[in-house]
Amino acid sequence: MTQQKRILFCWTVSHHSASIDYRETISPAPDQLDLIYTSLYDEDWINELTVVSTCNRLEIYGASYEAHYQKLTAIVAKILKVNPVELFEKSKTLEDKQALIHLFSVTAGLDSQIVGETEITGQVKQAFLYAAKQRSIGTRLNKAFQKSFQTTKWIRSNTNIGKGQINVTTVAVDLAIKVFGRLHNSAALVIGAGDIAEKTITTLQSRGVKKLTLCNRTFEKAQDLANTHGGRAVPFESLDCHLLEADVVLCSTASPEFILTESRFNSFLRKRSIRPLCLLDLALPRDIDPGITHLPNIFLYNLDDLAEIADSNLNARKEELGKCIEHIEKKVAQLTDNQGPSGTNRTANPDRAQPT
Amino acid sequence: MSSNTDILWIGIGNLIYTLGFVTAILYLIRAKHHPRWLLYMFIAGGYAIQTYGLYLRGMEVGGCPVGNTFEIVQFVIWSLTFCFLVLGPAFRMSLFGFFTAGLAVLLSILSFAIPTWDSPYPDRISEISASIEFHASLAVFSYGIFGMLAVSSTLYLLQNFALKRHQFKGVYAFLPSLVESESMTLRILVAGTGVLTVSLLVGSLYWSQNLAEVNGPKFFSSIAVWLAYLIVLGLRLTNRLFARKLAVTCVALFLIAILSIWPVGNSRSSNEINEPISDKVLPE
Repeated sequence: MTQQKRILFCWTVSHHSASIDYRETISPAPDQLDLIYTSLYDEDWINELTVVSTCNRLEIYGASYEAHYQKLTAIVAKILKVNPVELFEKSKTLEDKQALIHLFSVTAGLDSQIVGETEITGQVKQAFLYAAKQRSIGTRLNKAFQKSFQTTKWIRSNTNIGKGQINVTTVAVDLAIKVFGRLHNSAALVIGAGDIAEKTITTLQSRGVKKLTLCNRTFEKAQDLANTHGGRAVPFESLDCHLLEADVVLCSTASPEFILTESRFNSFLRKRSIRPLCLLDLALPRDIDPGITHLPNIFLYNLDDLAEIADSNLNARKEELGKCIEHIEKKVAQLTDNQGPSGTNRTANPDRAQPT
Repeated sequence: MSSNTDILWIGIGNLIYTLGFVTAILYLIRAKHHPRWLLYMFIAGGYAIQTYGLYLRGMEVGGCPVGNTFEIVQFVIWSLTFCFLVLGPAFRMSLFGFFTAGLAVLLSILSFAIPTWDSPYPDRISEISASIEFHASLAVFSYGIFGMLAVSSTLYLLQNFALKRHQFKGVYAFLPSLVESESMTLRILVAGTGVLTVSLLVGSLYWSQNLAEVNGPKFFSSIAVWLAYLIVLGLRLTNRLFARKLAVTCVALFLIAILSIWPVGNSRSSNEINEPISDKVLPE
């Protein structure tokens, strides 16, 4: 039996190839993510599997002896209920060294919309842990991911890629400062109680926001957040009332539809004070109807906007990219050399037979 | 009124404003910022020299030099830069000096580009009324304050545009926040309207006793400008005019007020030239 070389592959749809509208449609809900794992892992040709799903990307890393990208795309498209041809056109596939370089770049935030942002590292770690929980990680992906975390650490410590205040939440709060100046007289309303909400609360507090109100569909989560970080938790039903008082509204819920619609705004805008309203929509799918952009004295920014703004501020960081990529290539070369010519490590699922 | 010495000093003062403005533009293009103190020094230097030029003109005409369109526009520039030099450091708003210098340069070019604006008018007689001089200088000074109001409104409009269109590079990066601009706009609006109101009150004391000497177009134009600003202030204080609309209104009103100086100044000059000298006591 001839031992065949295993491929480490990466199938990716990201902000490079897909708009925010399209990415919204392929952002898997928790049950869909589980289904992707089970469906793909049922495929005989896949030995190892990790799915990384963030606001800006849906990526599938795998190890196999052969790769059937069209088949993989068809399975994912079926689960996400999107056109497989379109999904395939928007996807990109990478193998072995290129896939590793991509993974390291993604983990280090080099491939992010906001170059050098740190949130992605945590998201990749979570995806890796989730895959481990699903028992879909083998030595090949384990080594690749662990090495990517180590490399990220080195990059953060030894380059300027992470210098400056550049991540989604900081950019968002800086925009609020452009509207209000200092936030010492401003009231902020945070809708949602996830990671982004938590980070934004910290940033808002560091900028001295006067009043902080937390609102979430599950009141207890908002209450927990208020207990940990300060602020006042309010029930979701009283949202309109608190929108009237807010200067800065930050949304980061997992709601599949708009929470703040144009009609909702029209109903309360006349009752509001003349102070401007800064809306920061950090959710995907979006929480705030983009149709309200034309309303006077309202300033709305979604993830794409924030990324665009940050990008223009990040030219200095991009100058560091060359140094980071050089280090990544060095580490990837070491990894591939250590894995030997065949790359035949123990698979996660020992029952999976090696093709002859 | 043509006098080589006063025109020369006024011209040099205006040239220094222009140099300051051009220097700031070059800094913004090359270094993406401009040292505020440098522009402040340029404006202060230009102001000192322009003041001397206007002083010479005042000595020549025997009163506040606001007798023709050129003098009025120069006095507006002088008031504008005076307000900036006094209030600018207190407001500490980026680009405020830059746009003040820009407006000063624009008005300066306008005043020198139309030679007929500096048309001769009869010298004032010795029994000139102190109250009417005070009224005239306050009225024109209020135009300087309204010029500053236009500058703060422009800063608001630019920031509003930047925030709506997501423009944050170059000059947009240095704009003050919307709330700061609007707050400053309100304070300047109150100050300008207050000064113009006092000016008209002082003038009305004179007019009520010398009705025949009232210059019709000037009178109605002044009342219209005052009423317009008073209405804008009222609407703002009752929260019916604010944000972008307020800023647009303030810029538009200033343009109208400045443009109205020309026909009003012309009408007065022609009236004065055709009238006997004894009827020309009222300089403003």
